[in-house]
Amino acid sequence: MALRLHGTGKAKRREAAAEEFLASASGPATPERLRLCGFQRVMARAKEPEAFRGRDAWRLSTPSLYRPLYRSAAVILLVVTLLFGSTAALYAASSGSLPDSWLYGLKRAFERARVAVAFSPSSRLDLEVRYGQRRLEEIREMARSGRVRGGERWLAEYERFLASAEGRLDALQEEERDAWRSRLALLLQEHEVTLREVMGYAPAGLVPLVERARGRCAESCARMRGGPGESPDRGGGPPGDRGPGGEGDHGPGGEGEGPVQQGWDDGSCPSLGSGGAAGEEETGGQSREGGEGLGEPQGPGGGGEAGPCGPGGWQEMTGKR
Amino acid sequence: MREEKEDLEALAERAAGGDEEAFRDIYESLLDPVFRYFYWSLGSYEDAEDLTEETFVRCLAAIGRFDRRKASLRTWVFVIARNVLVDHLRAKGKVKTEALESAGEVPTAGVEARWEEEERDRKVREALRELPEAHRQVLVMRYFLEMDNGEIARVLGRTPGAVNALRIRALRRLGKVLEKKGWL
Repeated sequence: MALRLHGTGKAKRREAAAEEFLASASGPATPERLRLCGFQRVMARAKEPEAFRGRDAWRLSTPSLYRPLYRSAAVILLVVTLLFGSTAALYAASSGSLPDSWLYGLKRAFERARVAVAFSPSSRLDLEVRYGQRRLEEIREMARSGRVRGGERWLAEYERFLASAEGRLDALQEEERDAWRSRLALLLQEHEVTLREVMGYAPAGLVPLVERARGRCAESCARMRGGPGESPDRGGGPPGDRGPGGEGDHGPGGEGEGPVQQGWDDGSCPSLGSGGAAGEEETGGQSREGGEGLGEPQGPGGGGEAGPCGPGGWQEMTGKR
Repeated sequence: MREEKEDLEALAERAAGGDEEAFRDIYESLLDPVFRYFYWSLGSYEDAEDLTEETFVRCLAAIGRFDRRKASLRTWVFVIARNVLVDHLRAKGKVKTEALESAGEVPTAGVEARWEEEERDRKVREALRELPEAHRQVLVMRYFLEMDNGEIARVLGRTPGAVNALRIRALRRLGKVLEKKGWL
């Protein structure tokens, strides 16, 4: 009994001490935010659509990564960022790759994707041309560093560029097509000169491939020079197929005689003033000088005015004098 | 007290009829006890703020269903507050008991006195954390909201006798906690 009383007394003391302890606490004042603008917030939230007034609605008021809605949004944002980030990193890494690299496939995939999403046929062709320039840079770099591996792949891509550029001409309006044809002809002429230069310092294993690319380039260039009336098939045979005279159908200058045809016979693109004794090297020099100089007769045999790519034809196609 | 109750219930009827000012008066009358209820139940200043706001949003949405014959407005509001708390605890999976930094605002007290008050509050929060949820609820309502056993019983859905027994058990348990911590 005494024990029980003692125990009860102890419990009572505990109760009293606990009550005293609780009474000693004052607690914080109600936050000013609630006092001053809490009511407006309550009224505003009550006017929100029913869906936002559910039992979890208060969670919307304070963003926190620990709350499911914000956590999901943060995860989605992170995934999207990582996706974009890794794509950008791959793009950057692959942009300088050469055909012997595993990244080259990615580089080409990015290029194809970009062409595919271009808005107009003209901008698609513009991109193709830019990527064609890249192919040229690639073969230069390969030749300079003595790489042979990946040469076949490069050739395939280069041929694809030529075919694609020609093919895309058909999708253009007639006026645009003529302007593009002239631009492509000039560009391919430059390509051909560059490829010829590359052959001068490329390793032996690469030379036949570059030579083949140069041949294809010359054929394509010739078809461009042929003007709107020229069938693409005409360039399909060996460059030497085109006989002197050219039937007069290679453009406005079309008498087809003389020096320009010599360029075709040796496998180069028939170009302005490239005929006669001017020779191949001079053709290259003229191309790089560009524009106005191209129409001038070069060298002792430079009577280029009669050929399809002679001054007459060139001026007709480009509108330049 | 009686007058306040009648006032609150009359305000509730006006608020149910679309009187915004009436609801503002209810809000101002019950803001402090509702905030204190959440603060001592959770030990978190920020959560107490959020849940106080949520309680009044729910009150406003349901004010048309308030029936003064069943309970006083204060009891009715605390039933809603209790539901908000239960939802919160369910969502969190546990009671959030983060430490507070300068939770108390006692602008009139000096630095030393304020520190002592904050230290006391910290101990009370810490001791309350050691108790089961039901014990904590009874003590908070009885000692921080000054509710009587009948009112607590209506909020918790128990009988007044059961609430009294629960309160005594809760106090004894709290006393043990205080002994264990050497705070007695």
